[in-house]
Amino acid sequence: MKRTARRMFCIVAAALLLISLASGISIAKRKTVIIHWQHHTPARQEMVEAFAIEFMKQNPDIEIKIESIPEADYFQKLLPALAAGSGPDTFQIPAGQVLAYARTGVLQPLDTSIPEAKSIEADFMASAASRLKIDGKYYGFPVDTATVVLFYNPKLFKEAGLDPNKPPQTWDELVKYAKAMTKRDAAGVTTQMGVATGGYGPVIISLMLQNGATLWDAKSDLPDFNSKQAAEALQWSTALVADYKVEDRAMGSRWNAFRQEKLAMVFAGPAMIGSFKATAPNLDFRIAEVPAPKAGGSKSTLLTSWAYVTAKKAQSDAATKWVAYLTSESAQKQWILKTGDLPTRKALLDLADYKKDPLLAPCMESMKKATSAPWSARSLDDALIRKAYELVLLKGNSPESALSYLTTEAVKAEKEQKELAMP
Amino acid sequence: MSRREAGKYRLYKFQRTIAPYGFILPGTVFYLMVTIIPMFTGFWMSFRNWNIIRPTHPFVGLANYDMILHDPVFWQSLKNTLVYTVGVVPLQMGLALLVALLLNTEIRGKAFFRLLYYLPVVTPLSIAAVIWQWIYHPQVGLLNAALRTFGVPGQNWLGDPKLAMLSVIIVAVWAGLGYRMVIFLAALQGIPDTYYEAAMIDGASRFALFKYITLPLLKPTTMYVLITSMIGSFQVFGLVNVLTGGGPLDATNVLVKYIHRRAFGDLQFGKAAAMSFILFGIILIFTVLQWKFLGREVSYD
Repeated sequence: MKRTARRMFCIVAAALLLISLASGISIAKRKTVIIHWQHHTPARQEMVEAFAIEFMKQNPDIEIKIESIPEADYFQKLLPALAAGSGPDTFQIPAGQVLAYARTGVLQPLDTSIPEAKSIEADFMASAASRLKIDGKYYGFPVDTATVVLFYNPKLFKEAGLDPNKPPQTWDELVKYAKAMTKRDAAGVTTQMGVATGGYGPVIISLMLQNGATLWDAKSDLPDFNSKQAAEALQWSTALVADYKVEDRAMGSRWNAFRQEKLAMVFAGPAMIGSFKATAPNLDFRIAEVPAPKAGGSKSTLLTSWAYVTAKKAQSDAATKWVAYLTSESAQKQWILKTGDLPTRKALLDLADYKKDPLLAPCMESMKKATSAPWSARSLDDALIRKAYELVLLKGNSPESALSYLTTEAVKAEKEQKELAMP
Repeated sequence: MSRREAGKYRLYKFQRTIAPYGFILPGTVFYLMVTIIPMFTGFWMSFRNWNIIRPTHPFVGLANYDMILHDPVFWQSLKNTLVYTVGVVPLQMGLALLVALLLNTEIRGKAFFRLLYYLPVVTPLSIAAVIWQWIYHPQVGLLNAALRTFGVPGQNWLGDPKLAMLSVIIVAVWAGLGYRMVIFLAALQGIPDTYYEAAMIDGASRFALFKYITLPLLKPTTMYVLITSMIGSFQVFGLVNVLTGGGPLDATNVLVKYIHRRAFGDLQFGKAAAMSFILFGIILIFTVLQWKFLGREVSYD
């Protein structure tokens, strides 16, 4: 009797346990999980995690799992994961790569049942969003956008008898200012640099664009760096080191030099605002638009941009909702304050708050004038451009021959990318 | 044979013939999964136009290999790899043997010195790279400061295409010395003292002891260190990646760095796989030659 009762009790308990498990599973099943990958900066991770918490509050049926991966390992992890079909649901890639990824079938277009995905054309700047449109459909929202601006140190301006409220307006003026702020000791060792480009790809490309170079051959639809304007710009960028001697590569990292007030002016992306504030809280710096080649000339620079995209395997509405949230107006206001990534929504560029902010105003202006690169090859973002710069600077090649080499390599790289992006 | 004995015999047979395979199975499966099968997959990839995320991989025959052989950056990176190997391997082995010999004598503080030489081996590469970048810094670096006291002008060690490879080689020798020293030390301690005693009774000089006893008996160890160092230096990547990133002007762009860039930077996995197999072929040839010319064992037993 007792035994039967015990047995009954066990059976009932087991049944209850099974029922509760099953119901638990079904509740869990109703939640859509979105795995989100991005390349890592501490500020970005913190911010996006806060966004995720807020987003999940508003959308209790969606769970966001974030993985922040250092940029050096990012593609090494992302590509095999996508190939194996075990990758993230939403992730970021450079805007120029969206075409290749979309054509290989690992992405899906944004879900137009989400209102933000329908009005991209109207809401976002064309320079940031145009590369994300493939075969008439948008595949992502622009994020991680940067231009090139001039950071400068007002204290060093004053020391050299220059007015910190009047940053240089032309290339010649920049050289004049830089010379005034370059110092050497008795042994001829540079103790303070006037200006630095670091030979960084986007900066050198910006100088070429400003000088009127097109860098693209419309007929063959391939890169072409062979032009007088590009050669002049490359020559000028290397002359800062070799002829004017206002940039000294022996000083090591330009960021450290600027932090330590041993560098007066540096060409950089606005994201360095966040970096300098975090790493050198006492540093007083200002920002200006880049100087034009000649008075009244162009201040247009290269716009580099990434995109938040949704993977083929993702549940489209939830994934689109999440990336739309990350690039919404309120989110973009956070981006600029916390990470220095410029807003890409048209509505934000003329915001009164930004117009009054001495650091942000010049960034917004440069944003309006920026143009995006027409190529997809990632080696053209920095590696190949830097090589052309170093050929002139370290090998003594003529700018024309360096650009001819660059064009040959660029065409090869771009053709490979085109092949990858075949329908 | 009784039934019990037959059962015992069967168990014995099983233990002798089948059970060992059971024990090595997990290791073998793992090795197959992570090394052997991917190797063959890589070989198959090298004949195809392979983009990792594209579902189709059209067969292109030897086109990848052909393109590589016409790629100047490939030849430059191969040359850099050879320069690196020739620079690192003999120097590192010679120094490791020398240090091992010194630490094999009865000196004071032996344990301390062993630790000192072994420390770089356990130092994470990225941290070591940061320290060396500071040592090499053109303006505030330790190396230039030391040179200036002797009246030698400072150099831009990592920024000058002529010096960058030398600078990387110095770090590589420093980083790998301790590991090889420990191997030599273990081998030295395995040489019986009786040989030395016998030779000393015959009036052999210290140099003769080294030449006729130590060196020949170290041969298997030397072979092992030589071959593994050679393979390791052909496959150098991490050190270059963190110190110079392959620059300036591709002066330190080594093969594996270039393979990595082609694969994960340009999505050209087929060409990267083909390059890996060219590297494999080169390493194989070198290893075979080493066995052929140096691989004879010495024994005084």
